[in-house]
Order: sequence, then C-alpha cells, then structure tokens
Amino acid sequence: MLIGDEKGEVKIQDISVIIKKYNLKPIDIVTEDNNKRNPNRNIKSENCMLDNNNDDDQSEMDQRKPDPTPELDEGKIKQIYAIHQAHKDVIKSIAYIAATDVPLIFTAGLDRMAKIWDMSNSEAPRGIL
Amino acid sequence: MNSGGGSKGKAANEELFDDQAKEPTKKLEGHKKAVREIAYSLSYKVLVSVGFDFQVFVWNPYWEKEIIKLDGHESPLVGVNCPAGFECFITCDTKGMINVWNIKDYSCMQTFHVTNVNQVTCMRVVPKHRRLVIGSRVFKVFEQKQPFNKQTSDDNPILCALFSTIRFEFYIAGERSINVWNAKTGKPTRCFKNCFDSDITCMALDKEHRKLIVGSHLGRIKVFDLLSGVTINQLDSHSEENGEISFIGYADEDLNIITTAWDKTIKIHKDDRDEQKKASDNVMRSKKMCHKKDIISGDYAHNLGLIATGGRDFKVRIWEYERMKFEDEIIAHKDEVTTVKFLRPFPLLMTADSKGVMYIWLLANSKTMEERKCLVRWVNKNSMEIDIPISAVDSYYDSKTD
Repeated sequence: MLIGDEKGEVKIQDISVIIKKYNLKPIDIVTEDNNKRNPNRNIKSENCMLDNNNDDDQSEMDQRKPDPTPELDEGKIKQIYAIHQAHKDVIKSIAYIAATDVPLIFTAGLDRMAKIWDMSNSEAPRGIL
Repeated sequence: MNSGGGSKGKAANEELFDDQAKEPTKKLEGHKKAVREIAYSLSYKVLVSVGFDFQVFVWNPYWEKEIIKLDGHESPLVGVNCPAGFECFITCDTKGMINVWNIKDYSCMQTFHVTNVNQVTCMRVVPKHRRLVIGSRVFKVFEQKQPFNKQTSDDNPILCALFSTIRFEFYIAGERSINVWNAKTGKPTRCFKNCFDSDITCMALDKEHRKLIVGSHLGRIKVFDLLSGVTINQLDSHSEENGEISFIGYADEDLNIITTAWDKTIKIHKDDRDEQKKASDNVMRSKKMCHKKDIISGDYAHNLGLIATGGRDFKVRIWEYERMKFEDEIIAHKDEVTTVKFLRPFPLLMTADSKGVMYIWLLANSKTMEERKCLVRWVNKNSMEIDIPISAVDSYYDSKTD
C-alpha cells in the first residue's frame, strides 16, 4: 500500500501480513455470479433516511462510542520504503506502476511537480516531468 | 503555382495549376464536401486542406493520394494555417474549436476552445507576434505564451493526476487544463486547455483507456476523447453551489460512471450519449443526503460491487452499487474522512482522516455471515512525531508473488 501525505512524504507499507493471516482470496463478483447481476437497474432517486433524526445529540453519542479495537498490532505492518521530502507541498496523486521492468512510483502534488521514483534511490527521483 | 478549391455543390477537389498551362497538372480528390481553405508549408512541402466535411486532409502535392486524414473536429472547418517557422499547422472549426497539429508526425499537440462565440468565420495566424486571430462577430486574439515553466512540471498546482497502463501516458490536471505526457519519452504530447470553467478536482479513465472522465469544482462532469481532446459527453451535473466532485469511478464492462460530490449525492450515470435525451436521463440511479455533511472522499470496487464514501461528518458509509442500498457504516474517525480506498482485489477498505489516523477494515461478508472487523489502526507521523494527514493512497497486489 502506498501512502502520500500532506507534508510531501511517501511511505510504502507491506500489508501482506493481513492477507496471509486472514487467508484472503481475491474476490470478483462480476465473474462469479454473473447471472444474478444487473448493473443497469433504473431506480428512482431518493433521499437517504439515515440522518433523519436530525438532532446533534446523535452525533455526539457517536463520538462517545469507544474506539474499535484493532485485531492486529500496528507494528506488524512493516514500512518497507519511504521517500522523505518527495514534494514540497501536499501530494495529490500517487500511483504504483508495475508494468515497467522496475516498478516505479509516480507522484504529483500541489508544488506543481510530477515525479517518478524507483525503489533503489529515495533521495532523488528517477525522473521529473 | 496557383490553387483553387471546388465550390459548393460541385465535387470538392483541389487542382494544382502550372502558370504556363491552362490544364491543371494534378487533381487531389478526397474531400466529400466543399473545400474552404488550403495552406502550404514551404519548409515541409505539404499541403493541408479543410472544408465543410469535418476532416483535415494533408497532401503531398506531387502525389494524388492524401498522406493522412485527420479527425478531431466536430463541425465544418473554417480555416487552416501553416505558420512559417513553426513545426505545426492550426485548424479551426465553426464552433470555435482549434487544433494545433504537429507537422512532422500529424499528432494533435493542443486543443482549445474559443469561448463565447456563436460562429467562427475565419482564422489567421500572425507568426511574427505568435498570435492567433479568430473572427466571428468579434475578433478574438490569442497569444502563445512560453509553453512551460521549465522549473516545474505544470504551470499550476496539480490537483489530480492519472497514469494509463494501456496508453503509457500521464494525465496531469492543473487548475482548468489537462496536460498529457508520454511516459516513454517523458515529454508532454498534448494539452487540453481551459476545458472547464472551474478547477478540475477529479479524473477517471474508462476500461479501454479511450476516454477521460473529468469532474470539476462546480459539480460538472465531462467525458473527453483522449486522442483528440473532444468533449464527447457532458453528464448530469451535481449542485453548482456546493457540489465539488470528490470521486469518479468507472464500472468497467457495465459502462457506468459513478460520481460522488460535496452535495451529499451519489449518482450512477450511463456512459452513453443520445442527442435526444437530456443528461439527467442518463442517470440510472442516485441517492441524495447520503451523509449529514459533504462527501469528501469516495471509492468504488468493481470486484465487490461496493461504493464507499467518506464525509465531513467523520463517518464512512458503504453502499451497494447495483441497488444503491445502504450496507454498512463505520464510525471510528474523529475527524473528516479524507481518504477511503478499497485494497483491491481483497475485501479490505482503508480509511484515513485529516488527523492522520488510518484504519484497515475487513469488510462484512454476507455469504459467510462474517461481520466487519477492524484489522489495524495507526497514525501517520513525521520524523518529529507530529501527526500528518494523508492525502493520496494507492495499493498494488502482485498475484504471482503474493
């Protein structure tokens, strides 16, 4: 998983632990139960009723709910790569490009720069557009 | 050498005359309708002709057959110019769409629109002053600026960017324009200038990467042809006052477009254009008031058939794509949810808020009756241990190496 933050840092976290622990399999409902699927339903527009009891107490109640307890310790998720100061401003877009010989990371930000990085050098980008 | 164009009604062709001879030395046939203007490039020895059919013809004057026919205009053309000293020719149509073509490889380098004109009647390039004059009821003059500030990738802050694995191109949106970069050469190839009247906030590609769907700050959504930059379709807008598009998703083979916006509405549009129909008729289903406050983030997982939305009300909600049914709600964040992202191809959802807190959730499974689980929570900090909000996320899973 790739993460870009508002200070221009890029981090890559390895989440394969989760996939292994919960034995997750890729899911694709489009190919699995094709006959039941009808993506072209026409449904009349309607208002969602979830927020109808419009008192603010409700949301305060929500706030007081205890934090959900995570099942895994955050230390289990290893950070495998980081680029400090990839950008001088907020990173607005990040993409992992696997189609090339070496995997590349593409970032673009509010500092008007678009850069391409590889995993061997976190100091300098491989290319700047 | 003189040249004459066929007039209306007659078979449209071009004839090349020799000064001495009365007979034309060559006939260039190809245009289906009358020719409006031709231009010749001395340095590149090509003849370019435009007319009432929407195509641009490039000819080698010594050979009867055209070199290439160029598509890209959607109305009759009014003019073509080959400015001396530039490696391009410029065409213009009656609706005010102007294309700048590379004279070496005939690719479209730039597309832009003349705004607020009814009918353009003529166009002239003034190469010396790098200006382009457009005549309709009023004159409009465009000036070529230095195309790029060499220090930065884009002239404007980049608000969103995409990479196409099929076309190997980057699409970078800065304010109102989109620049297309070739990933192999690392050079800008095309530019769609001023395609919106407000900032571009979000973009998505269709399945074949032929179209680019773009949403703006004022809630408008347009579909562009990636090659020519032509606006193919305009989708039903979200609210103009507070309808910034926060997410656009494409449901690959269903040809549906999912949009979420600050007006708390989710819409599913058909990616289809019918002149008879209004844009609102293409909206198959939508849901209003999905959150108490603005929807500021969204994601769509085609493999799960789910839409996730994150709001300014600190909540994350999950919706079924086929029926727009409410599925689940995650109340855990204590600040605005800035990012929601499905970690494809798994039933995992990553959410993050503007305090830098991140969660990964294993989503509920209706078949095995398993409930949603919170897998991990962590806070994004910098080296000074200060919480930093997350602004962009991507994930990648390699099925071969696991």
